[in-house]
Amino acid sequence: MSGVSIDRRFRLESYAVDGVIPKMVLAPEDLDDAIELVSVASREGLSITPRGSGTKLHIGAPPKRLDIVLLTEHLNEIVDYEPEDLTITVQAGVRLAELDKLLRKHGQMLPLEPPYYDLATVGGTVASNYNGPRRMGYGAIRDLVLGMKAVYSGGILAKNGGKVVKNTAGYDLKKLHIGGFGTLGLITEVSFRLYPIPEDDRSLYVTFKSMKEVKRAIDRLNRSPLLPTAVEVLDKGVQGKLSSFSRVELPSADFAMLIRFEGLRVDTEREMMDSKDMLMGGKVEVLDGGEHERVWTGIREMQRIAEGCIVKLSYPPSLILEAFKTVREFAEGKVESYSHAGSGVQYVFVDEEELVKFVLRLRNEFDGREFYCVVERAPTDVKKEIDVWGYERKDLKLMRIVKKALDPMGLFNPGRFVGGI
Amino acid sequence: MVPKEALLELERAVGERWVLKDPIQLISYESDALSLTRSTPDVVVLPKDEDEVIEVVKICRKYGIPITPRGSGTALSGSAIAVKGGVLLVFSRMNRFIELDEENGVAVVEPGVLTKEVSDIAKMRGLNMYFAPDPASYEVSTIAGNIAHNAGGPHCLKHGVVSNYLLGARVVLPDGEVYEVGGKALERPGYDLTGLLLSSEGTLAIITSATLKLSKVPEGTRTIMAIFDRMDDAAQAVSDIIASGIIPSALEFMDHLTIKAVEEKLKVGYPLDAEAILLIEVDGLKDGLDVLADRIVEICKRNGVREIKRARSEEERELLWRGRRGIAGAVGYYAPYYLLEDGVVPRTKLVEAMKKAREIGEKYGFIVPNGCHLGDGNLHPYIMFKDLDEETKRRVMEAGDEILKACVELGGSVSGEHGIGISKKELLPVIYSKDDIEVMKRVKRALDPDGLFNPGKIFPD
Repeated sequence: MSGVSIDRRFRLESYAVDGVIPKMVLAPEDLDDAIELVSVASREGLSITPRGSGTKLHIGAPPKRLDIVLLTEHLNEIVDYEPEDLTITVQAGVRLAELDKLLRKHGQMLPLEPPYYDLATVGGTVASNYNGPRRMGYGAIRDLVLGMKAVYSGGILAKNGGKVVKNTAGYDLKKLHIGGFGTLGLITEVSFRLYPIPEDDRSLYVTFKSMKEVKRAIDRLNRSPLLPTAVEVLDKGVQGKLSSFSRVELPSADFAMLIRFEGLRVDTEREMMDSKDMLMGGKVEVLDGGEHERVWTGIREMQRIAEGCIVKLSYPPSLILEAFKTVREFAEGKVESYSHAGSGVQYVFVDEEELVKFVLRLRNEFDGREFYCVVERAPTDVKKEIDVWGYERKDLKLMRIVKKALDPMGLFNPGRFVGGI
Repeated sequence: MVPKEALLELERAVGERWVLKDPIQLISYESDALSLTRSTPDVVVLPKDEDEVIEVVKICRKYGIPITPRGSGTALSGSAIAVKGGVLLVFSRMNRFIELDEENGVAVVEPGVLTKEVSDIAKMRGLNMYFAPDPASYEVSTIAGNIAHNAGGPHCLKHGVVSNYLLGARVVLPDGEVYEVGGKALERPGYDLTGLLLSSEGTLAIITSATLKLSKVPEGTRTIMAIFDRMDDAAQAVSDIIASGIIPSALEFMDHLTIKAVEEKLKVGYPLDAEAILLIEVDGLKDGLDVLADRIVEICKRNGVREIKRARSEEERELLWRGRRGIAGAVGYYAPYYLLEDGVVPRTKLVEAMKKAREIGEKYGFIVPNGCHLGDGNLHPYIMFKDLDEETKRRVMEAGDEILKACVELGGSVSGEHGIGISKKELLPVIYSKDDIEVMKRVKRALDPDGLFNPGKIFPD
C-alpha cells in the first residue's frame, strides 16, 4: 500500500492534535488506497483521524487515541461539474478556494464560508459543519449537500443521496456526517447544489447605542419583505478588529449591524434605501466593491483574526438580546463577541483564565433552555478541565446508537465528540 | 396478529371508540394513493396526543405488533399501507397547531395538521410568512406524511424540499421512548438526527410534533406561460434561463399528450397542437420581477416560442396554473386508470427522459403523458391503462420500472418526491449498491431491532 509514512515529509509532531502525536500520518493516493487503508486500520484496530488542511482539527475534546492521521490531500479531483444543472461533485480533499476559482468561470458559486478559507477543504468544512454569515440567505451546509460518499469501518464505501436537488430514496445518512466531525467514517466525495453569482452584492453598516436598539432593528428587518443574505451584530472589540483587518474605516460604537444584500441591482438598491430608514441606527456606512469584499472576508476570517479562546453559542435567534447581555455580564466586559444574527450563532472571544468559569456560568444560566455553549478553541490543558461540547440532551442516547451502528469498533476520531463519542 | 389482550390494552390506552376492528371500517384503510396495492391492517388506532402514541408504541412493542403510521393516506408509494398487518396508527385526531413563534419564524404543529394549513394559519394570524413546500397534495396531505417522505412539489428548485424547512421534532422511537431532536436553534452540537429520523417514511420514528421553519411570503410573483412547437426548443429555453443566472421559483413542463388531455377536460385555453408548454414563475422583491420576467420572455423568443401569456393578476395566475394542477384528473381522457411514476434526472436530461418514457410506454402498449417539475428534473409520467386484470397490472409496473431505470441511467434517481415505500423498494438496488443499502440497514437494525415500525417498506426483501 502506498502512502505509508516512510516519507520524511511527514514529521509526526507537526500533525499532533491537542499535544497528542499520531503514530502514523498517511496520505492515500486515491480512493482505492483510502478504502484499503481504512480496511487495514479496521483489521488492526487502529484509530483514524481524517485531516484536510487541519484548520478545524482543534475543535473537539483532546483525542483519546491518535493512531492514524489520514490526509485527504490526494483525494482532490473535481468528479463532475454540470453548470447547467447547478450541481458539482468533488472529492473531499479539494480546497474551497480552488473550487471557487472554477465556479467563478461559469458565473456560479458555492456559498461556503468557513474561516481559514484559503486552506479549508470540502471534507473538513462539511465534517465540521462550519457555516458562515450567508447561511441566512443560502441555507446551511446540510441544505447545500445533495449527496455524499464515505468509507466506513471495514473499508466499506457507501454512497447516500445523489446529484439531484430532489431525492427521497432511502435514509438521509449524509446528514449524520455533516457536523459529525469525522466520527462515523471518512468522507471521500460530496455533491453540492450551486447558485449563480448575483448581479449585485453590497452591504450596510449601521451603529447602535444598545443591544435593545439592535434587537428592535432586527425585528423590523424580519417583519419587512426585505431579503438580506446575512445579518451580523458586532460589539466594539470585533468592530475594531474588522476595521483594521479590512482596512476600512468603520465607525465605532457599542454595537453595529452589518447587513448584506445580493441580487438584481434594482432590488439591492431598494433594500439598501429601505433598510437605512427602517433600522433607525446612528451612523450608516454603505459598502460596495473592494471595501465590501474585504469587510466580509474579515467577518469570515474572524476566528483566525481574533486571539484567545473561542466559545461558540447557538440558540433560537430571538434570544440574541439576552445572549449578548448575559455574555457581557458574566465576562465582566472582558470579551469580544459577534453573531450571525440571522442564524442564532454567536462567537465569544475570551481569555483562557476566564474561560472555564465563564462557560460553566453560561451553561448553568441557560440550563433547560435551548442554548448551546461549545468551547471551540482553547489550550489543551484548559479543554481538559471541561466538557467542551456540553451536550446533555436525551437524544445523545440515539447518537450513541448511531455511532455504534456505523462505527462499531470506535475507530473514527474516538473520544473527540459529544458525550465522549 | 393482534392478540385479545393487546386489543384490550389498546382500547384502554385511547378509548374503545378510537380502536377500529370491524372489517368494514378497515377497508377504507387498505391502501393509499398507490391504489394497485392493498392490505388491511388488523386494527386501526387513532390517538389524540403524544402520551397516547407512546402508550400504543409500548403496547405494540410488548406484543411484537408492527405499526404503520398514516396521515391522510395520500402517499403514492404505498408507505401508508400496513403490508404486514398489525396496527395502522392514524393521526387525523392529532391536528393541533401548537405554536406560532413569529419572532423566530417557526411553527410547531401536531403530525395531523395538513401541510397547506400551516401556511393558512400563519396568514390568518396576521403573519406575512408561509410554509414554502407545496407538494401537489398539500391541501389534503398531512405535514407528518410530507416530512416522512421529504416531499417536494413545483417550487423545489428555488425553495427546496421539506427537509430544508424541518428544524426539529418530538418523535417516538421503536424503544417506546419519546425524544426531542433538533429545535428552534438552527445549530447545535452532535449528529443531525432530525434529517435521519424524520424522512425515513415512518420506519425509524413516529412524529408527535414537528418544528417547522417559515419563510417570508414573496413580495410578488410573475407567472409566464410559454407555448412551444418543439420539446427541444422548450428545453433549450430552460437551459438558457438558468444559465443567465435566473432561478425561477417554478418551472413546469407539459408535453403534447398532457396538453391535449388538460385542454379537452378542463378547457383552460391551451392550443391542442402545441408540443410543449412551459409554466415559469419567478418570485421575490417586487422591483426586480418585471426585469426577470422580461429576460425570460426574451430568452423564450430567442428559442422559437410560439406564444407567451403573462398573468397580469392573481386570477390570471390561477388560471395558468389550473391546467398544471389539473393534470392528474385530466389524464383520464386517455384511460380510466394510471400508475403515476416519479423519476428524477439532471435537468439537462429531462426532455430525453420524457421521450424515453413515452417510447417505453409505447413498447408496452400504454399512452404515457408527462407532467414535469422541469426546474429540478423531476418527471411524472402517467402510465395510462384500461384494464385491471393481473396481466395488465404486471405490465404496467414493468413499464414503470423500466422508465425509472432509464432515469437512473441518465444520472438520476428512482424517486424525486414520492418516496420508496413498497412501490420502489425492489428498485432501490438500481441506485444504491449492496453496501449503500447495508449501511442504511445497520441504522435501521440499531434503532428498530424488532422491525416494528412500518415493516416491508424501503428495503428490498
